[in-house]
Amino acid sequence: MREDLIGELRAIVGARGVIADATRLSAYESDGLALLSEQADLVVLPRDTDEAARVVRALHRAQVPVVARGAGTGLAGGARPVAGGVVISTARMRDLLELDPVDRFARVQAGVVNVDLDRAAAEHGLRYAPDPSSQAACTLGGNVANNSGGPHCFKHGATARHVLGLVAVLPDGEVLDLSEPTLEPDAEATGGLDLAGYLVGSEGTLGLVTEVTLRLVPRPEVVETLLAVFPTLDGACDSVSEMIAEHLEPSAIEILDRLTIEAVEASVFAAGYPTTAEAVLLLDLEGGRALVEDLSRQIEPIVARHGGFDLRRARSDAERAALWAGRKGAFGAMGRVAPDLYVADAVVPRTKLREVVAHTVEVCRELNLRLATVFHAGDGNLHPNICYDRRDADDVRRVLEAGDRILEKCIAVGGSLTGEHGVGLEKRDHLCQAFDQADLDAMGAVRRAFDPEGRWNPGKTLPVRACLELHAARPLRAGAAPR
Amino acid sequence: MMAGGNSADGKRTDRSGADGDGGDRGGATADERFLARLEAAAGATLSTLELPAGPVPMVAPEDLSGAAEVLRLCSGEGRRVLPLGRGTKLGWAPPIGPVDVALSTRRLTGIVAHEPADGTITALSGTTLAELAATAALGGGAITPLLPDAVSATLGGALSSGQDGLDRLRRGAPRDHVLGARLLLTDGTLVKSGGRLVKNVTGYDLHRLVCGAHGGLALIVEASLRLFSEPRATALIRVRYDDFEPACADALAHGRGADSPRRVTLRREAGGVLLEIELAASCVEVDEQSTALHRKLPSPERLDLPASAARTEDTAARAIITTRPARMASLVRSIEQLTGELGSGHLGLVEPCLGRATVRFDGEAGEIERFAAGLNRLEPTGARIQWRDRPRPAVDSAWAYGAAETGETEGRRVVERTAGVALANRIRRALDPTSTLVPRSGGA
Repeated sequence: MREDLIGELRAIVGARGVIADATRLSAYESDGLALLSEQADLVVLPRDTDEAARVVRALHRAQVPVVARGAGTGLAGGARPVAGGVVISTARMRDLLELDPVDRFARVQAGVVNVDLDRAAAEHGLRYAPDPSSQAACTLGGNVANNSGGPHCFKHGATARHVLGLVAVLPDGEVLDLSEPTLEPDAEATGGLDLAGYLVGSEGTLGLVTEVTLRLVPRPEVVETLLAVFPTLDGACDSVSEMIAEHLEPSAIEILDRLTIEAVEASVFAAGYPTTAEAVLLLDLEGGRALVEDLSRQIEPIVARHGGFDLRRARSDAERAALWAGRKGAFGAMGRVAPDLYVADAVVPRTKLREVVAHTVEVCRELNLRLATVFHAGDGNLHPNICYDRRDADDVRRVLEAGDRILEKCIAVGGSLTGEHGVGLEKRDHLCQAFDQADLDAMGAVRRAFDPEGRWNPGKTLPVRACLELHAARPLRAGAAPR
Repeated sequence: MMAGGNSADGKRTDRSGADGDGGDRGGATADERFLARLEAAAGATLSTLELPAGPVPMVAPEDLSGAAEVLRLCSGEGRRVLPLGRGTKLGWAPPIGPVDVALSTRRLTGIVAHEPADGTITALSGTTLAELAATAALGGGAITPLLPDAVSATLGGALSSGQDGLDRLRRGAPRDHVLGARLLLTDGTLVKSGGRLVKNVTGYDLHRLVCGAHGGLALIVEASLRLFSEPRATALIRVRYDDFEPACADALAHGRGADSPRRVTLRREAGGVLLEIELAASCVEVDEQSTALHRKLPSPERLDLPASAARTEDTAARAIITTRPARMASLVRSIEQLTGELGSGHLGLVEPCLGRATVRFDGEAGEIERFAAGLNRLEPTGARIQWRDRPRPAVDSAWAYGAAETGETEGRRVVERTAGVALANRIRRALDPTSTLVPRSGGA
């Protein structure tokens, strides 16, 4: 990296805002997908939109590749640096700029941690609904980049439904200020296009989101947390499919399998899940007292019909919090089972849950891999977690094969490659299974409208090679990739 | 019939065709040949669409390949295409510049997939929202937006116009519930984004960009929507107030819960103000919310018939004015004062929880520009104004997107160049490099 550029960046963000030494840079080598790592030349930490815009303009003039990064909790390699590039971290952009309890929105800097906004909102009887499992660490800017979900997105929707506006620094350093909450895109600011909505889920490839205006919703009058125990994973899956078919609307529907339960119960997240169960179903019901009681009454026989028993109700806020801490700590708890965890992320139609979960179990059995499954069952969003040791090359090979085969099955039944973790680097080449070349070309054309030089998160989110080449290199298995 | 293009100011424009004889002398022949090719490409006979600036040939292909052929032909010959469904929202955002061909999706109809057990529905874009809603109801589902003109509004038209419905408060913006779409680009390429799943972050959401773009980026030919549970019960709570201030305060205090009512509206009635709160949900939820409202509101009256069902789409020239909900009472006061001063126009429906009010113009057609300029006086208070079905003078393309000049020109505001507008232009060029699709004004 040129010294004069480093000097220019230091002049903008101060000496503490630039990281250039190898030891400290190593902390930024990868995100939550530890399999993929690369060292950046430099990490820059602006404090606000103005500094970020000046940084981006300097990098634009120097034609340096850029990777945006929140807390680095992503699981698809989206925040992994690129060689010879600069990482712009939002870690010093942690101010809550405005919280309006009457109009029910908050304006935050991108580096504000998800749970911190929820806590601030709670003081006004409000909440920020999207709650990824990493919410104690992940940033709201990162959530925007990935259109993050979480258990309660079943009722409330993922991040996109809660973004009322944002400020982004475009790849040439120009500032796109759409921070005012509006019902519809303001034609004078956006030409009538939903530019803010399009930036949500764009994985840092279209610019750097520096501020976000987010919708807050009232905390529910009553919340009831139910835990149902199942002797089979199939039974848990089938009960969820029936709830969806019956139009029942808990706010969250989660399933944990036996290995996950064992790991959680052996960890600091121990929640009191029964370790003899093959699966548990964790549900939150929200609303007025009568509505919650009615929902509960309707769910009980469905659970029983599919072999569920011991339907427990959390009797206190503390018990409820413990049940959810177990669920949200599940990924961390898996550290007791193996040194590394491959967290897959895919979505299937909710009528196919049982079929795909069974396939996942079978694939891992064939490849002699330990599988722990925990997932947002209400949304059909599966997270098969495969235990491995990244120092063992054969382990890594088998894990990647399992991941491929699970994704192919999901696509074959009408599912998708990712529900909330994003494409990143991990699934970039899989995109040809879900889309045609023409689809990807159109997406690429719009991406170039934002970033004509392709310097933002290069090599991520869209395949670098043509689908034809990728198919030739790795023929699809029969039944995959229907249109 | 002409094919040389009919500009918004009524003047014919000369857009030479591929034949090279499209000038004054050979224009008629070239036009006739073009129209014949257009008919052949679409596999359908032409009709005429009456635009304020004059008639244009309209084609309504029966299938996707016909629509693709039409776009390919027009793109290749430099003809400008106005996409539409049944044309019910043309007055929302008038075409900017000349139109050579109107391309309607009204015959691209049919439910492609309905998965009640998975809560999704997919249909071709010419399908009416009424048909979609009826199909969804067979499986106990419901769609959004809930429109008064669902019988004539098409899926593609509703999404392209960014129209929300009577259920906006409860469901949010319709674009949030579009799961995926198939789009025709102007070179005839069919592309898709998203899918038929309630949760999905694979690839870029092109379907999000085309919602509200008024057909300026691509032709929506198919879309998938998330379904909701069909409400089992409805109820309408009515309360009368002397003035807007307490009505707004009550609406904001009690009309926005964790599960919002379908609709909360205010309107002037018999010297007072009528607050209506429409509940639509399960029987238990409606009863529970209704009981709570009766406890909190002064002298409410409950009707078990939803007023929404009887409402019709407003087609008068009207300004939709938005602000933050907390400023609503003040905005309404300013609107009433202003309409009194201007002597034409009156306050229509007020949606306090959405921060939105409608002002209907009821003066002589010639007075509307003066009235619109008067309403612009609200903007310094933070209000945003969008016009619907406003009779307009000529709108030329230099005025539209990214025009460099700013300020007032002949009573019309000129769009200021911003980073967002410049970006929108680049996106348009990326998806429609031949500028075949006619841009529409955003109603500013």
